[in-house]
Amino acid sequence: MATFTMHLNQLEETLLKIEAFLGDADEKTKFKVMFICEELLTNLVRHADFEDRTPSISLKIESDKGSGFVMEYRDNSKAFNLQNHKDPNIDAKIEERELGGLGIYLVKKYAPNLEYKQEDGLNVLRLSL
Amino acid sequence: MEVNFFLEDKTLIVAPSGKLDTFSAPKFGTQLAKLLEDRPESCLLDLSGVTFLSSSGLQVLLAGAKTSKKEGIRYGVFGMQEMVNDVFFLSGFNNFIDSFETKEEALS
Repeated sequence: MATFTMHLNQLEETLLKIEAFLGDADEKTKFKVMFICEELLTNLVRHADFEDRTPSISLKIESDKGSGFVMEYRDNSKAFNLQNHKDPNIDAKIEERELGGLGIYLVKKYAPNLEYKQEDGLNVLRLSL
Repeated sequence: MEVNFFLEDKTLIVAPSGKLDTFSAPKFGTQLAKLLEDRPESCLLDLSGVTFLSSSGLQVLLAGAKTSKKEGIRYGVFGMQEMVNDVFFLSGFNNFIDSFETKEEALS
């Protein structure tokens, strides 16, 4: 198990540390974990509103014999439940396809058991794959 | 990430390699946009060397497809590794970007 804490300016080094932690896990699982981490953390760095609080971000990753990995993610930005995030229309024609919105959609595809709650003023996200 | 590109007949082949992630994708996007400004007859992206693709990378593929459609450039991708292919299809990009397994198929 490992817990990663991150400041907003540490996105790249945090992702590299997570990748190193995953080590020799199978390539597909590693791809999915890195995909989820990049999308969640990038989204946070770009869009989250921490109001007047000092950003606090942590991500716990545990390897699990049954499913591969269990992840728990916490941050103190304004409440944001990505389960309520509108999915892009993936059947849209090219002219109507928008450039954003895909990241969260794919996170939900790769971790359909994702659970969100607010706990002690934190966004808490649990997922496994 | 590295990007190689060359003309084969009238087809521009662009081959990024490594990760197409939030850090490298914007730079690749700028390069691709610039290459499309020359309006080649076709543009094929050789993705065989791409080991990781996030939504930032998808945005670049989409922007390239949009520009190509507007400019009348034939646009496609080939050689995607398994998980890159997975992300591509889950995103529905197969609805508007032709994808091929090999360069030969893409060129024919």
